Amino acid sequence: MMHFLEQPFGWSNFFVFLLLGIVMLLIVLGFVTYAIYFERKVIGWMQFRIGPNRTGPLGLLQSVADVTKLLIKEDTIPRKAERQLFILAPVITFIPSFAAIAVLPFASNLFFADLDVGILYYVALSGISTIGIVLGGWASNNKYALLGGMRSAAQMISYEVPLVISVVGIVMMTGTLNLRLIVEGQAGGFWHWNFIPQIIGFVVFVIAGISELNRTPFDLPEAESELVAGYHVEYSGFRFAFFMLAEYVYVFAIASLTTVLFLGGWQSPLPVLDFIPGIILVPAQIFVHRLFLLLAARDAAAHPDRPAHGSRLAGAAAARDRQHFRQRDFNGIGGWGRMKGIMKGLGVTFKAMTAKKVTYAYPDVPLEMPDRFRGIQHFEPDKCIVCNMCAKICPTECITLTGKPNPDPEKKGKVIDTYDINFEICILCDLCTEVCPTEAIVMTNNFELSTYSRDELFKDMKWLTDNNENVRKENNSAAPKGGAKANA
Amino acid sequence: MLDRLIGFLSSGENLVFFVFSLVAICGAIFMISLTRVVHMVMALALTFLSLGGIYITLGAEFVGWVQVLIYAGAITILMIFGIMMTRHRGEAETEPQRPWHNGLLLVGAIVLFGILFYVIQNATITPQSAPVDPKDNTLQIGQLLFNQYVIPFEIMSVLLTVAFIGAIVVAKREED
Ligand code: SF4
Ligand code: SF4
Repeated sequence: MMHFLEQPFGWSNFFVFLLLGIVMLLIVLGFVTYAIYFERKVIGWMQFRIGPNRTGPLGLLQSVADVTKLLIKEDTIPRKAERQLFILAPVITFIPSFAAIAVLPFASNLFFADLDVGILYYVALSGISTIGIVLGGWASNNKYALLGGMRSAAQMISYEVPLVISVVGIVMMTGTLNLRLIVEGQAGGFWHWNFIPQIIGFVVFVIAGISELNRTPFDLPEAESELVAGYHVEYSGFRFAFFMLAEYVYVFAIASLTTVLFLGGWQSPLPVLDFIPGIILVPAQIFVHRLFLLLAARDAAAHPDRPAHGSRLAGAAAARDRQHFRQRDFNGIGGWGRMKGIMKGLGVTFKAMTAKKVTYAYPDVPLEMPDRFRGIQHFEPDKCIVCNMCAKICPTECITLTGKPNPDPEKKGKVIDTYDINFEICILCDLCTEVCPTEAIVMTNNFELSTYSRDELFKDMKWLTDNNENVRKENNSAAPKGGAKANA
Repeated sequence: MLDRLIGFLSSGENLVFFVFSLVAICGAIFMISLTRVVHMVMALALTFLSLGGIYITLGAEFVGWVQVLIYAGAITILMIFGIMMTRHRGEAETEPQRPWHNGLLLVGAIVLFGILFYVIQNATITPQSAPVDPKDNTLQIGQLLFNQYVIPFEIMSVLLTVAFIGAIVVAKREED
C-alpha cells in the first residue's frame, strides 16, 4: 500500500483506490450484516430464546432479508418535517463513519491512508456524525426525536474529551499520532502492548468508546424505553438503515481502533506466534472486542421487549442495571461504577447464555399443549345419533348438520349425513362437546387452523373425522364423568 | 494578469483550494441570509469544514483536523443553543424595504473586490525562508510551541484558565 500512497496521484491510482474502497465497503457491509445477526443471537441466548433461526440455515440470512426489506420499504417523510435536512441527516451521519475507516491500518502493509494525524482524523470525523444525529432529531419535527438528538449532542460533548485524552498517554509514549507507527511501537509480545502501561487510558477509552457508539448503558439518544427510538423515530426504510449502518460501522471502527491503539494491532501476542500473518490477527482481535462491546453494552440491558417465560429475570436485571447506569450518568459519578455495572451485566449474560432455552422452535418442534387445552373438534360419525343438541347449543351457530334415515331398516332413528363446522366463527367454547350425549364430538389438542383462504376454514365431516390426533383424554371415553354428565 | 489566473486554475491542488474557498464563502453568505437558526448553523458548519479542507490542502494536516474536531463540536453545541434558546414559530419578520440599499451594496462589493483583486495580483509574495516540511507537522508544531513560543503558549494557557474560572464564577453567581 505504501508504494501506492507515495506515487503521484493519477487516474490509475484513482481507480485502484476506488476499487479498494468498494471492496472495503463490501467487507464492512458484510460485517454489519453478521454483527446484527450475531447481536440478535446473543440477545436471544441471554433471554432464553433461540434468536433468528428461520431465514436460511441457522437464520444466517435473516439480516440480509431485513436489509432487503428496509431497502424496498416505503420511504415516508413526515409532512411537517424539514424536508431537505431530514434527507440530509442520515447522509451526514453515515459518510464520516465510513470515511473514518480510511486511517485504520489492518496489517503492516495494508492500510488506506498513512495519515500523520490518524487519531485526530478519526475523532474529528466521528464528531461530524453527531451533527447528523442532532440534525435528524431536529428535522423530524418530533419531540422525542428532538430530545434524542439533544441527548446525543450532550453525550458527545461529555465523552469526546475523555476519549481524546485517554489516548494522549499513548501518543506521548509513541511520539506520534500516526496509527501505523503506534502499532509498530508495540512489537514484540503482548507485554509491549499499550494496554499494560496505559491501563487507565484503556479503561477510559473503552467506556468513552461505548458512549461514542451510543450503546447501552449510553444509549440515551435512542432510549427506546423512554424516547421510543430517539433521533430516528421518524425515519423509515433506507434512511433508517443508514443511521443503523453508521452505528454499526462505528462499532467496527471503535473495535479496530481499540485493537490498534491498545492491543498491538497486527503484532502477535507472543514471539512464537510470529508466523501468523497480521491480517488474521487484526480481524480476530476486532472480533473479540466486538464481542465485548456487544455483550457488555447492548446485552447488559438487552431489550426486554419480548418476554418469554424466562427472560423476565434477565430483563429485570438488565432494566435495573440500565436504571443504575442512567442515574450514575446524571450524577456524574465516574467510570468505575459503570465498569462494575458492565461486569454485572456480563455476568447476567453469561449465566443466561448457557441456561436451557425455554423458547420453542415452533413448527419444527411441535408445542406440547396442556391436557385441558380446547382445540379443534374431532367428530366420530358412528357415535352420532343426530340429536341436534350441538347445533342448538352452539353460541355462534357454526355447526350445520343433516341426518338421514338409518340404512339398516331394522334399526330406528337416523344416522348423520353431513356435519360441518365453520371455524371462521367457532370460538372453541367446548359447549358442543359438553352437550353431546354420545361423545360423538370431542375436542383435540390441535390448534393449527391458519390457511390462505376463508373458504378453507369451513370444515366438513370428513375433515373433522380425520382430525383424530391428540384427542383430548377426558372426552375420549364414552364413560361419562363429571357432575352433569353423571346423570346423563 | 489573466495568464496568472489560468496558470492558477490549471493545477489540481489549486482547483481543490478554489472549490473549498467557494464553499466556505457560500456557507458564510448563507449563514447571514438564512432565517432559521438551525439552517444558519448548518451553513456555518459548511464554512468551518471547508476551512479545514483548505488547511489540509495547504499541508497543515494537524491544524486542519483540529479545526474539524473543534468546530464540529462547536457546531453541535451551537445547534443545541439555537434549538433551545430561540423561538421557532412566527419567525417571518419582514425588514423594512430600502431599495437603494441593494444598489449601493452592489457597488461597494464590486469596488472592494476590484481593489482586493488588483492588490493581490500585483503583490509579490516572497517564499518562506525556511520551507515547512509537510511531513509530520504535528511534531514541528509541538517543537516550536515548546521551544520558541513557550512563553506566549503559557500565557495563553493562563488566559484560558482565567476565562474558565471566570465563567464558573459568573455561572455560580447566577445560581444564587
Ligand atoms: S366449540 Fe362452541 S362455537 Fe365451536 S362449534 Fe362447538 S359449540 Fe359451536
Ligand atoms: S350432539 Fe353429538 S350426537 Fe347430537 S348431533 Fe351433535 S354430534 Fe351428533
